[in-house]
Amino acid sequence: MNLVIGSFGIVLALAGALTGAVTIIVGIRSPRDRLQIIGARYAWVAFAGMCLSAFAMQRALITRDFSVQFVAEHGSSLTPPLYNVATMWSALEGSILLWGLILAGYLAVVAKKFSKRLSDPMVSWALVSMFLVMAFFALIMLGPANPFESFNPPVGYDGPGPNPLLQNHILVAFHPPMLYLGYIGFTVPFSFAVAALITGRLGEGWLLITRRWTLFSWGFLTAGIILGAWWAYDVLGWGGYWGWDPVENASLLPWLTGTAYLHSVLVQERRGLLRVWNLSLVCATFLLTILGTFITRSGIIASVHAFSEGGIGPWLLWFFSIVLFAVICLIFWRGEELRSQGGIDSPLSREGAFLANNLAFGGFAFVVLLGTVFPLIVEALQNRQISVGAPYFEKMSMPIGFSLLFLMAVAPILPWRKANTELVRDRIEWPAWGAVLSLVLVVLLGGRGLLPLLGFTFAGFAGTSAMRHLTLSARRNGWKGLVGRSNGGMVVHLGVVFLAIGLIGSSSYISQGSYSLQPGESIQFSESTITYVSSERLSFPNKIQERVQIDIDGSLLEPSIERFTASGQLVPSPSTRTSPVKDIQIALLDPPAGENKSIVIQVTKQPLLLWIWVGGFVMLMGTVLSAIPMQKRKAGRNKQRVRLSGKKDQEK
Amino acid sequence: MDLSPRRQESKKSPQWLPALTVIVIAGAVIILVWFLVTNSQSFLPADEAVESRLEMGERRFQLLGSPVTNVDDDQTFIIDGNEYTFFSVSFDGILVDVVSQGTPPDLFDEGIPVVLEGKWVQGPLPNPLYVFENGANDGWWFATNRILVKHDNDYREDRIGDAEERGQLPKASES
Repeated sequence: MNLVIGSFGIVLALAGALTGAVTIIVGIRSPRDRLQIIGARYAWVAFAGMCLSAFAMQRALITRDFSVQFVAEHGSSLTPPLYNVATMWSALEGSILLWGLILAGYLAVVAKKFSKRLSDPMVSWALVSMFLVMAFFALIMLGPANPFESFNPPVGYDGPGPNPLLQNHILVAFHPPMLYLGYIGFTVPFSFAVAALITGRLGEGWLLITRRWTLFSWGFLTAGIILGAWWAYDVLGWGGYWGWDPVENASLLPWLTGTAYLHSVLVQERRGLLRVWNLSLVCATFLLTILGTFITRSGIIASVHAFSEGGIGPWLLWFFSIVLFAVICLIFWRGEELRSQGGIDSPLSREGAFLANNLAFGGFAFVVLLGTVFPLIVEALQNRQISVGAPYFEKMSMPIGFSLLFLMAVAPILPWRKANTELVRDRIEWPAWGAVLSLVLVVLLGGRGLLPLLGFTFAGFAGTSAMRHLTLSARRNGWKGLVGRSNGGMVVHLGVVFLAIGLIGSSSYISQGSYSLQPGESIQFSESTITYVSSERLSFPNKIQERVQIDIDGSLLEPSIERFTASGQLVPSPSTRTSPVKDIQIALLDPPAGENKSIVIQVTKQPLLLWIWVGGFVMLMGTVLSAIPMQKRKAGRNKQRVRLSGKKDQEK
Repeated sequence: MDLSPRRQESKKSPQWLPALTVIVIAGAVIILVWFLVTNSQSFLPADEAVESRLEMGERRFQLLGSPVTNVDDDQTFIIDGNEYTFFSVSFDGILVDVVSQGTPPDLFDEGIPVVLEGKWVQGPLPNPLYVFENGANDGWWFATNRILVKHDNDYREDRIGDAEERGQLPKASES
């Protein structure tokens, strides 16, 4: 039953997507608007199809219908209910199904949102692009990533369940969907960019249409990346949160180009500049989501962290190549029309800073992309396998990160077009003091090392600049001074500053050690006394847990190791004492053994790590605040402002 | 009052600008490639690593293999204040003996593929009396101080394959 419903749903989605695309194209070519309106309705057919398929998969997982091969391979009667739902995205076929569901959801929402403009060629072509992307993913689901293959289970068969790593932390239920909401959300601005190129309406209209779509996609992607890092920190027990693995890089790449786009789009809206650049960025962001999926799902690059490898690599590569070719052709076709009128008047201007910011983000993306695909290039040229280590990414990302923090401080204080020295001197005073105070504070608190101190100084510089903007805005407009694109953007900047503080503190001053302990024994670790108190063995339906009690300066931590019954796999559950000053994480490397029940633990201390998660949360808050429209100024006030001259006007 | 739109002044780029741009880009690419090359390591499955022992010499590289057994207490030794763990990995039937400095990570388990960073050593082990159980014991060992455990959706035994071997074929194959 589930097989039939699920397969029917995918066929329905494919049929809906193809019929929708063809109907709209015919509608655009003929004078009958009605066809475009009818075509858009097929978005709901595609969405209904994907809902049916997702429902069938969830039903199969919940009822342990092992006649569905995906359930037989990844489901289990022992999997707890929450993780049973999340099993859908624990392996390739199910995660593509989730991709299809979210894409169909976006398609339906776009059709609904623009229901009064369906005869507008811009909206029609955007829908055609989305329909075609939808059709591609539906085809994949009928081909190499079919989630509804059948299986004839032996009597008493029970599946192994998802990887136990995906069964012991609640974030598994949220990290992949958030990431996918971000990845797939970029299909909307991409489709409108393609529509703008096809229709030749290359002004700022398509940017305004897609502003919030881009913002929310970026917000979801940010949330997905932060949740992924949090999951890695809380589950894997290695004391880290980011390893520059190809899978992690694949999520970072579209985030970097998406962030660049969110900034450069302001220059086009305000000054009509960077048209080709913006189109290229939004297309690159979409293409990088496909390339990232190809890199991580094809198994072409060795990764320690690929949950969903399969045979869809060639399909994704072909799709990527076709879309890239089409986009390049469209941009060349519209070449002359894309030429911006005028240029940047002065490097010391808001647009100059945004351009520098875009170069830094673009450079960062290039560095990460090159490091990720370099093993492929070497293999193709020299027929040998290599691996690019984390030091490359760390060494390259540090100067770029510092320059981005510097630009985050400078850009908000610069006016559009051209700044005079007096104005810059006046506005930079607060941030400069903030930078100096940060440096002094960090040194007084014991911070050492040139690079970390430089990083904290830049963070103080950028943080004070954002605070200055928000304070002035709140003074003028009260709490409403925190909403709107510019103010919300400054809240995001504050989040980035917190994130940077967490990254610098936790990576620069990390200390780690492994210790063998017997019950009652204590050790000294970085000014803390750690005592092994006791241990216990707990049995659950799906696992056996070896848990130990460790006392750190009066507070009790309970790291454990779990052996999952179905697979026999060992999974750690480190325990962390978190505070704004430092995190101390204890992972149980060896469970209690022998008569004396000795254990081996790994202790990791990372100062300021909490601020990474705080920063991520503040960034999301800022994203939401950015999406809230600012109240329009009253006419009278506008008139008054027009009459004003000098400093106040430039603050706008 | 002149309300006509401001005319864009035509500005000619300096002649040296393209040359400077090319030099900057070339410099950046050279630095980037240099960083890539100096921070890259060869990545070899255990069988290929064994084939290229002499060629690899003292160079550090990444070795891929699956632990033959889990690690017990009798495989861990404290020598000169350092903790060493002894185990073997295999790939495509070829065994490599490994001496790891420190305790393997939590996820380390029999049959779960690992990526080890280190180099070949020929000669006596840190504990010269040790004999690897189910190991190669051929006088060569891989000295590592970094173990990455692979985690993916193919972690479990091939249950579908087992079921097929027992005569329970997928319906799709039957038709």
